[in-house]
Amino acid sequence: MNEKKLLEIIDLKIGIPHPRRETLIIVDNANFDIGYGEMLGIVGESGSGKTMVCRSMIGTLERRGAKVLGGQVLFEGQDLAHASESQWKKLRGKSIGYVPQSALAGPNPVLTIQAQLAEALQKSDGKGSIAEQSTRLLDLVKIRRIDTVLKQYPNQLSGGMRQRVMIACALASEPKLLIADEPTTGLDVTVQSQIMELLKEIRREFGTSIILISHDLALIDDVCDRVAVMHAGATVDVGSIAEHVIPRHPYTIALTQSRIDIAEPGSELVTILGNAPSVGEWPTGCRFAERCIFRQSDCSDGVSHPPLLGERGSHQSACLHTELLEGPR
Amino acid sequence: MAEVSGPSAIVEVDTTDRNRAALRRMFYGRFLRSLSVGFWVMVIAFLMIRLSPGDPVRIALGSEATEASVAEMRHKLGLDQSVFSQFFHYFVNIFKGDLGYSYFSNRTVTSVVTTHLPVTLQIIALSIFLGILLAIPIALFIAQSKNQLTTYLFRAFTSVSLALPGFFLAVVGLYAFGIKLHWAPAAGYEPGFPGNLKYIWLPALVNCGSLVPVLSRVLHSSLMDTLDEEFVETGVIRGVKKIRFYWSYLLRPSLAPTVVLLSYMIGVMIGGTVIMETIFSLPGIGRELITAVDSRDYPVVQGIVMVFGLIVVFFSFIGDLLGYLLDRRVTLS
Amino acid sequence: MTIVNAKPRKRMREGSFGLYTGFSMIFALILGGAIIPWLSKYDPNSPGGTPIAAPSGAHWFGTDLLGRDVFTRVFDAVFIDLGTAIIGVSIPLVVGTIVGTLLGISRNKRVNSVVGSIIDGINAFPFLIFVIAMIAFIGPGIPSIILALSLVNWARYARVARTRAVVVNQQGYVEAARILGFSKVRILFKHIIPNVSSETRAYALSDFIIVIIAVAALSFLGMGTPPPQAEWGAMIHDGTQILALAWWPTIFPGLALCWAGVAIAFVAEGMQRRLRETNTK
Repeated sequence: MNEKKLLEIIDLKIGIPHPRRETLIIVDNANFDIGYGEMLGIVGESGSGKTMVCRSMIGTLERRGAKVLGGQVLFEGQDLAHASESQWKKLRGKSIGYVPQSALAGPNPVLTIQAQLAEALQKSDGKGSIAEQSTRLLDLVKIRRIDTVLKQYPNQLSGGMRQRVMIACALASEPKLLIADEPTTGLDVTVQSQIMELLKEIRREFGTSIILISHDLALIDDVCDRVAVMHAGATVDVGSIAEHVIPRHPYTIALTQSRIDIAEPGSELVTILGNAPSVGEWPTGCRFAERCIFRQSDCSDGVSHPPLLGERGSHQSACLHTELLEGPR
Repeated sequence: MAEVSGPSAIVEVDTTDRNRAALRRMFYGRFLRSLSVGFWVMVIAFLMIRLSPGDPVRIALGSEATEASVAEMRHKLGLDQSVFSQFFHYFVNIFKGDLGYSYFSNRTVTSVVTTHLPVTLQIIALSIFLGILLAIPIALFIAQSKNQLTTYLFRAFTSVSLALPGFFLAVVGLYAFGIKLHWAPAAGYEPGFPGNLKYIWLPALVNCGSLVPVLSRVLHSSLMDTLDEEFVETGVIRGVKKIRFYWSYLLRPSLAPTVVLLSYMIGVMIGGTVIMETIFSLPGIGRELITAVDSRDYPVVQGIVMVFGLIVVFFSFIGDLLGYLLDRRVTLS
Repeated sequence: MTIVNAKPRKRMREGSFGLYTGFSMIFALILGGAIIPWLSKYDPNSPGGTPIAAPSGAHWFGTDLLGRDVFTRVFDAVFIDLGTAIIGVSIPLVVGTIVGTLLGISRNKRVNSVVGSIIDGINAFPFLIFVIAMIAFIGPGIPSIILALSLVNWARYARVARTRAVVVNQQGYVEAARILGFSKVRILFKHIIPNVSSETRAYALSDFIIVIIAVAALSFLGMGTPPPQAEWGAMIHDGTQILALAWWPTIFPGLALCWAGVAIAFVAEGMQRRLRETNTK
């Protein structure tokens, strides 16, 4: 804990309460942090809880019927996990920016780009009029024909343009943290790389910390400094991209091996054994054990998921038998 | 919602120009279609009179009429000409604003319509106004409620209330508010706003009873769809003000199907209003219709029915257009 | 379906509640309609007894202006009202399904556009208004109501059927039957009509509510049964004349009508849920 972190997520547990049945746990044992100016990737299969963790940072869990059951989300020392609605009122639209998943459905279809930017600029204390600031923002995300675009509705723009607009909106309040939840879903590859370039540039220019959520490890490898791997609601492997060359968790190994981009031509593509356990049907002990090729007899012994081992900030892993992974594979 | 048919422009619109072109195409398409349906409405109304088993002229003149007077009346009404030339005259006269003469009173059908239609339209307008006023908060409340029981009760309640006969509810309302509580006059009318409100509030309220369940249900399901949309999340995160949030992020994006449906409900509203006018003795066109049916005043029946048909055609056209303009996602494919 | 049966049944199947409730309500009404006029010591139609007597042990629903027992009359009307509505739904259902299907599979453009326009034209008129107008021309009475309902409503069924038939006609099994060389008539009745009619029958169920209310409304407006035959709408109409004196001659037939409408609504809702369940399994 040498340097001060911008955001720390500690033992976060999120569930969806049900009036008659047991509370459905969707995130348990989530642990990671992000420093100032850092770019962190969160990777995991769908249903691994990455989107829920991200919602806990922007305060939209409740409207999806979910609740923080334990742990902390510390943003500059303030616990967002237990922030009240009135605290959120002050926080929202200020220090955390958010770029939604789908570029097509992200912007409000009934508002012009101008109106959406104006909304996003409400709480900013930037210089100049709303119009000037809007123009500056669109310029920043490299949109041309700004005067036309301002008057248009989202459906008149292409997917890539829409996502640029959403990024512009997210940047309006000059946030310290930008969360992008699979920001390139449904966009084609060239547009995808343009958006990634844009995110990198933003970080470079403003020192904004960025959390990039994706199921694509290759994408995260390309742009992020560090990565947190999530599986069945828990972070199982946290460390810098460089460190991931020697993975410390069998799930990361499996993810790496199933990557199409680095598979040797002609070799069989390795897919991960079985499916991730469904929410509500998590096994006791290590939740990856059933799919793990290194599985040992004691893996499923514990009641709860093994915690992340190792110093915070170093390469951490939630595997009980990291010693098995170090040999030649 | 299978009834809301018709081709929606399926083009990925990239620029304003192409969007305008799509809008124009859709406008002309719908316009031509409405014209054709309007034409058939006239044809059907024209043919309707031929359904009657008896000779309309004899009905008009009574049983004591002489052959000569029957023949004279036939000639006067143009009934001695061929069907096609009769239709041609009928068709041309509609555009001159001439819908024919009442058999029994010395009035033109046009004057019957123009005198009594405003009352009917006022009742319909008030019904729709009350319907929207009630449906929006109900739908918003149910959509926001996370309790499944509330949603279930809402669905049950709307199904049941749609199965209740409006004319009976009107009679019950007349008994409760008119006879027992004296909140509403049992009969009579006073033209002009706001004096007329005293007489039409109860009929309109009962009449919107068939509107509220349908509207709130459709609006509720669109709201549920909207609530799942990602842009709503964006609105929450931006900390948009409550009223603006409710309007721009929830209602406004959900409104299109409801508006289209509302325009299709005009026919139902007209049917309901005719009955309300009869029960509450209001001088609307519906009561004229019932009187004309009772006395077999065929031209009046024919004229009123045709006007109602054209009103429905007109409002479906407007509804389709509004729905298209309101829903900016339509152009996506 | 086997999957559903293989599972231990912990809960009722989707829609069962609506179906059971609705059918029980209809059954109770029909049973009452069958035995109460027969058991009752009062004649439903001939005047006699005290006029406008309040509900009591002797007259459960009171008596009307002519001293007739309202209870007996309400149940005497069951078959007139339900029967008219059933026939008034069935004829347009059959006619509309056949016409719509033929239009949907026909390749004749001119026939399609002319009949299509007529359908659109008829559907443009407000339903109740058109029926009222029809009755003006063909005269009042139950047969007229049925005729008028059929003349108007077939077009609504035809529209539903046509849309569906276009889809069904392109399905693989129809194509397969064609390749196998089955006759056109056989394909039409064995493959296309059954699949189209599942849709129109579902529509008929919700239409049934509208029609049963419309039948009563038309009688209420004096276009249905001639007196003295008991009929809910006509009874409500007679009741409103003396509404200031007595509520029971109006309210009880009205409640019977509500009962019938709600019963069908339950069945329709249950059917819809059951269908949705079968489709998702």
